[in-house]
Amino acid sequence: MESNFIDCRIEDGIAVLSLDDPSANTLTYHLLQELEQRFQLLECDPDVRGVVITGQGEKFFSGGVNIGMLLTAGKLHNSHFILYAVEVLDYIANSELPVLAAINGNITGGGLELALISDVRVAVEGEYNIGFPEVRLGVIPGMGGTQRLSRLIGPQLALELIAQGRFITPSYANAIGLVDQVLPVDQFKSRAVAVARERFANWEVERRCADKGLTSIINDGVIKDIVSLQIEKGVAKISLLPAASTLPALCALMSINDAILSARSDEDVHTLLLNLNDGSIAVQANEEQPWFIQRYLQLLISRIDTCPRIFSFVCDRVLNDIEIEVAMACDYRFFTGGDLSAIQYISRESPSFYRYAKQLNKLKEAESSIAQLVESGFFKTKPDGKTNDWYMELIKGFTPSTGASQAIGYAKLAVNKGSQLPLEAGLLLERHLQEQLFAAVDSQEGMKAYLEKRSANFKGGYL
Amino acid sequence: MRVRNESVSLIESKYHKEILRWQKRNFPDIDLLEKHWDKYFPNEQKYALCVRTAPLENDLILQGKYKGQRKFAKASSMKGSMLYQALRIIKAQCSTELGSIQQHGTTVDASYSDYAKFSVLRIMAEELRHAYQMFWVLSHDSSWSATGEKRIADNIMDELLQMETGSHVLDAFNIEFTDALDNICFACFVDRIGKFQLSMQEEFAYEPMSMSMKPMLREEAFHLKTGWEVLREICEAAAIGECQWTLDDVQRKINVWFPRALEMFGSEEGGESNLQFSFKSTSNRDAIQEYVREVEWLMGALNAAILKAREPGLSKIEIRAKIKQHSFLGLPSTRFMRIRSGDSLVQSTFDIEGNKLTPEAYESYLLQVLPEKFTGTKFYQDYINKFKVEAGIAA
Repeated sequence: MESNFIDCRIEDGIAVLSLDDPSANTLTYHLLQELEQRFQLLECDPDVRGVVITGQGEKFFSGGVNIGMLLTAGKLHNSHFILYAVEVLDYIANSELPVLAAINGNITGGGLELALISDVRVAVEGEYNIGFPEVRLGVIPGMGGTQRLSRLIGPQLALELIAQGRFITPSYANAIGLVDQVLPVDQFKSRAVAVARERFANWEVERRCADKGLTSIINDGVIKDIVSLQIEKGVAKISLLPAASTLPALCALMSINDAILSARSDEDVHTLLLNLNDGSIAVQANEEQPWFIQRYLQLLISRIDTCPRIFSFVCDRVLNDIEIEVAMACDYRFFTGGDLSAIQYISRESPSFYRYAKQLNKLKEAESSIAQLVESGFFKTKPDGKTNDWYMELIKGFTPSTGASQAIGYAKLAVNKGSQLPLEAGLLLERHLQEQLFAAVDSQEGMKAYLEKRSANFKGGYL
Repeated sequence: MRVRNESVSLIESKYHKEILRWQKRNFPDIDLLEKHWDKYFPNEQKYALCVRTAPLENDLILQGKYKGQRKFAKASSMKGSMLYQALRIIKAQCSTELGSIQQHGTTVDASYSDYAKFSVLRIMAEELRHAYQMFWVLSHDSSWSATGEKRIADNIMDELLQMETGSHVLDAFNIEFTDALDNICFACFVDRIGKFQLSMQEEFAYEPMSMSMKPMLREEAFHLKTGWEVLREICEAAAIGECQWTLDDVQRKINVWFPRALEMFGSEEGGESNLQFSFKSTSNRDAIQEYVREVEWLMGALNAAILKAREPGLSKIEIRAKIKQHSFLGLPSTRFMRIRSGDSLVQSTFDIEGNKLTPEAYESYLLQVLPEKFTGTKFYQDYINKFKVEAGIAA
């Protein structure tokens, strides 16, 4: 894989990742993308027992999110960036590999949020800045900082640090428990690695089937000609091509992931459609998948789930275990095959389906008829009298000719995410999404159009 | 006359028209310049609003993180901080060009001489071409959308073309000119920074930017020459009382423009990432030192010209000996009136000799060494009010 921003060295089972983007190692989309891939490579390496994250140079661990990027890029890109950053940080936080943040200098904003997902934090002694200055810029820490800091040092102190936007020293950070240990300047990074080795010695890293073979697939990166991405009239159609069927499942999953990231950050896209009519994610039925495939699949599912767009799925055949997991994460599933009994066969094979069905509270029986499956909303099939393009007509319901409202994506978040939260948190989420929509141009246009008795001309996207 | 090896082109029509509209509002005298071009600048390449690029002497990156690689032909080949930093530099460059036209325009009619006036008009026209060039850098390459904004050229054009004196990226371009001596001192001290920046940017890692530098530098040389020659003429006339300005007026102008010029380099400690990304070939500290050495030489030459005007019979050796004992004009300390040195305004209360003053004494001192009209500008008022707030002195 191309290495621009992360220097990686593995020393006796401990991988040292150094953020390297002068002068402040700020977080950009490119850096996070490399961090995510680099971490995936380490997860597949059975020799790696732990990871140290640090900053290149002596001045900065990381100065946080690149403000030049936030000021330059459009709202959509920035929303997408924050969403992506949260996904990458969550991915690392949920890894079985233990992580130590070796704070070698100034660490602010998003840089500190990156350190907060680590299991251990050590800092070099000295006078430099540690803190969340976001309120001075008119925002708050938005990559988990408010939640993780308050859980680490308590809400009282966390609020003090965040609301005042002030910087603290390493020794004070150590005193309040934000940093576990302060180490001398001399040989700091070697000492940090030694701490990691000692702390992680008895750490149980249970990676079933960590597979070096997969590293070559990740290293080679996305294979462009196994997935096509076509964007037309607001619909991003991601189609798996026949060549995908001949390659390992990870190739198809990575290529789908790449297409999703491109499509969901495109301001012209209002809805996404994953099409598995021409190609398949190649796995053998009943074969246990490598541990990492499951981990990567969960990342992809989470990405589909949190995508603030309506996400549809189309197929015309029986799906395998991985494909059905992907299909379940989508908001709508369309079956375009001629043999409807295939739908029933899918359900019999898939434990995911029964979890879903239970959630819907519609199917009480272990076995289900095609009629029940269609009725439950699991699959939509071709209505009588419609052309073969019937599902595209349905999808276009989310992309009217005048543009789709931002509210569609937010409705998805409120319903899907909100229903998984305690009622109080769900209500909070709903209120904040509504506040954002009220502040956005689409709601102004929508209400104005209503009063003027005309169709609204939405700009679409999300905020 | 056409300069060899330079390619000439235009930017997309919608942008071209937009710039012409801006020119009509901010620089209507361009027609006058074109009409009298041959009278004042015979045998020199005529002005044209166009893009000029020159082939690169070296298409490799010579320093920093990407040393040895080919310069990037596409913006999207630059990734991470590099991409956004490149954009910031190009935008700042463009803002300075437009800003200086707005500044020059207010006082150009009161120029010291006809030649001075047409020279300033030419400077303004060439600054407009430089802005045009920067818009080309941004608009001809659709891969700037890699920044996360598809309409990058449109957005930056909208933003920059709406800027007025006071809202430009760098301070030196936010100071209203109060008389025609500003035009000349600005060309002499601030445009000289332009020369440094453009020279350093010949090594710019983004190819369209580096290809733009040679033609811009060629034009910038005239700006410096104008500033220096007309300032020397003014000083010679002032030395014998035959000028609307006194040497004290000139000194006060130097006290205004030299500190602002220094700040255009950025902080002495900074600029490391520009070297890493090969956006510049010299560190801020080295560039500042080189600039100061060059301007010190100019001051020596100005002092010599003044003495020679007063005592025409003196030999070169006698002049050199005398100005060592007494100079008429001098550069203020590099610590004088710094706003972006990294220290707070209250910590930056130095006199022109570099001695620290108390915050209470500072404002009245500034009134003694700065031009009276300058202290009435919005720039100065904003500066002094901010200083007072920081110092806890009642406004």
